[in-house]
Amino acid sequence: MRQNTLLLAIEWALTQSVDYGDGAIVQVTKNTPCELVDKVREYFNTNSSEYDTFSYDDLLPYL
Amino acid sequence: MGVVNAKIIGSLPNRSVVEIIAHNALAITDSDYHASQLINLTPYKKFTIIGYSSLNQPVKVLFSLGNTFVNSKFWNGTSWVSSVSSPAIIDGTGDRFLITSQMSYLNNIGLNNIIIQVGCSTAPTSGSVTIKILGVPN
Repeated sequence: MRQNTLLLAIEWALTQSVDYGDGAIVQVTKNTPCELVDKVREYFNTNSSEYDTFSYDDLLPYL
Repeated sequence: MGVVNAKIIGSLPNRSVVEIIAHNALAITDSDYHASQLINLTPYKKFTIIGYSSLNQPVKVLFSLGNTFVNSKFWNGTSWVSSVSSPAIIDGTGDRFLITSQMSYLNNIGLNNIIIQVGCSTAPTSGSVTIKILGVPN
């Protein structure tokens, strides 16, 4: 993935929240690894960005 | 060999629990197995493996005894079974899976180190998987 795209993806992800139902809504932050990674991936998919397997640890240098 | 992402998450008098993250929200995009780093278990007298996933494909979780290039096997009471042929499979509901409750042969034994591998038969297109080990120090 390109670094610029990654930064945009992280920036967008950090504005998002995840609704787990039953009123359980989790705001995405730097400290919610699963939600952050899932939203970054969602950004890549929505914007047709190519990417390989990655993890929260790969995002840490950009947070 | 080092402890991976280990941190103390709770403590009681004379007792604490250490969390080791084997896979930290791993967004799998292929159908390969992905191995954790070698996790040192010597500081712990007991450990529990917990996993949860939001992947849109089931994910297989298996252990390797310190080497991913050869099979790791366990005795099922009748024959030797490769961990590859008998993985724990967790779905993408986000539910917390107590993986060692399926791999009961890992309970109450001493291990010096372990590698946790995760993989999907079909490449997922969304979500991630997290695998943690909770260890009770010696």
